[in-house]
Amino acid sequence: MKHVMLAGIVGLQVLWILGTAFTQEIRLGTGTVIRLETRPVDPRDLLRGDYVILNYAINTVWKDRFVGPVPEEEQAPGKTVYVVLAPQGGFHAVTRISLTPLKPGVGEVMITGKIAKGRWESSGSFRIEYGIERYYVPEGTGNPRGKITVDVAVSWNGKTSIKQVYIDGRPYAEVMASQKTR
Amino acid sequence: MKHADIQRLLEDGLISQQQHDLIAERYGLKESANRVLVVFSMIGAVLVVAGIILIIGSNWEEIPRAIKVAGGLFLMLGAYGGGYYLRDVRREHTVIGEMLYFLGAGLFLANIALIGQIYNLSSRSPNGILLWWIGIAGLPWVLRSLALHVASLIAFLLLLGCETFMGRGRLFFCGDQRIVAVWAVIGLAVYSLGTVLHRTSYRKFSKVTEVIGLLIFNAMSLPLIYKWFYHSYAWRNPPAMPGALAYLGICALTLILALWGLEKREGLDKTWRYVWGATLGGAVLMTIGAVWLSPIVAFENYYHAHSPAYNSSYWMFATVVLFVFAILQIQVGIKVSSSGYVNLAMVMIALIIISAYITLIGSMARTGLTFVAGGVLLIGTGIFLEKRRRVLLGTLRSSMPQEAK
Repeated sequence: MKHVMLAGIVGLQVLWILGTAFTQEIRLGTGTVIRLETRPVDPRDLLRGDYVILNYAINTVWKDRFVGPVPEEEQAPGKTVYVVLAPQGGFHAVTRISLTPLKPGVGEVMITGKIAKGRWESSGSFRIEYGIERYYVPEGTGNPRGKITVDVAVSWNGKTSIKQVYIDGRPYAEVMASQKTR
Repeated sequence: MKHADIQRLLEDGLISQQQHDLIAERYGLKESANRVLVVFSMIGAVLVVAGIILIIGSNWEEIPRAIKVAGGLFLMLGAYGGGYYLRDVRREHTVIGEMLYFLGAGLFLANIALIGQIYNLSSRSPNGILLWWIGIAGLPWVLRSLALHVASLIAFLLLLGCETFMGRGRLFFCGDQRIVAVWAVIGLAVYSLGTVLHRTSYRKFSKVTEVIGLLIFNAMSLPLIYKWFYHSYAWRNPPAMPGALAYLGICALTLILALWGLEKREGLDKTWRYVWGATLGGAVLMTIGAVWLSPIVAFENYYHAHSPAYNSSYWMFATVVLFVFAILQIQVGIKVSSSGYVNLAMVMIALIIISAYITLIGSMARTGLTFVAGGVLLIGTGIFLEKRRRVLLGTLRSSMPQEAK
């Protein structure tokens, strides 16, 4: 009985690891790819080493883009929102946002995010986080120079994963490797 | 009689696990282990894991994602499998088996971090710790593994730490030093849980849980006896509400667990159960008072024109309470045959005396003579306390059966 229960608990641990990896791989392999514009900063995660914080243009959304009811300021943080993006000048930008799922039009993509604490009434805008705000990089390479753009894979249900990060149009790792060899 | 003898009786079904634990505790029988083998095995295991991590790390970018995930899984399953084989199948190298279980639990956390890094997952840090704790919480009870119990306790305390200290934590209490009062009570809650475990079939988890709880309580309550600890303007602000309610909840839980656990605590007669129970209750009330009462007994004191600060006399009350607590902790430690209780309390008494000296005498120290006198006093106190500690531990050992020595 003991070994069955041990196998069950360890099996659940393995299931989470493989399940998460599988879901991410499916999203990266089959999801719709969109390109986003960002501005980075350079923090460090004690548990996982270096990463770049990606501050997307779509993180800031104006209130007038809301379709349907706008959530109250006090209750807003943590609420799930559905954001429709459309290509504008080479990048995807926010066209509509709602507390209920929206149907994207031709060429549009819908992604899900959560309202974060921060700017609200005073500026007329608020911050949405999509779970793609961190990009893990080898230690000591978290301070890139240049324009950063990101390819993001979007699954059928609006979940997102980072597919590739570019510095001035070249893959992040490639740029950092060339800077090291110089 | 050796531990291996009762282990065989258990395996042959002649005694139950509870009887096994009772006999082992009554006669102080411990699982034998070749210490040299244990040390070499541990160093070897650490070197192998460190070597693998370094090799993987140096080629990290070139390694495909699937290999990274598989490597993490392989190490974790290897640790669990090795632990199970050595401790539960062969039943020979139980200590190494326990170490491998501990390593397996740690590698689950490493795998969570690895997956987060590979796929750039953004989440609150406590969520990863919560997942780790949930993943390993059941293992100690299934395997009756002390190492996994400690790992699970560490995971839970780490989770509580993140949730109480972090500004965005679900149990955020305050952004100032009052947080130590919360953690002092958490220590008492862990201690009380240990006393409850003592009356269950998991009594082998009891002592280590009690000592970890006392360690947290002693360490976290110590700042409360410092005068300067209360010099904070922030103490005027009431604690954040979800955290404050959780804090009071932990206080209530501590008292309930203590009442339940001490009701049948072996080694303590009825009088001592009441005395120790009341002491724990007093310690809980002292921490509550530190948060809510100390600003009331404080008076505003202007150090200089633009820097108002609270100057509470609560530290005196806290000093007395903690000193009495430490004295009684020694007595209880002797009664329940725990050197952990005694050693912790001795250190605590020494620290209380030193801090009282610094506060009462040190503040007036203007001449070298005061320091010399104070230093001699401290050295004398240290020698006295160490001698007393040795006498108490000697008494404790002589009261234990021959096998336990």
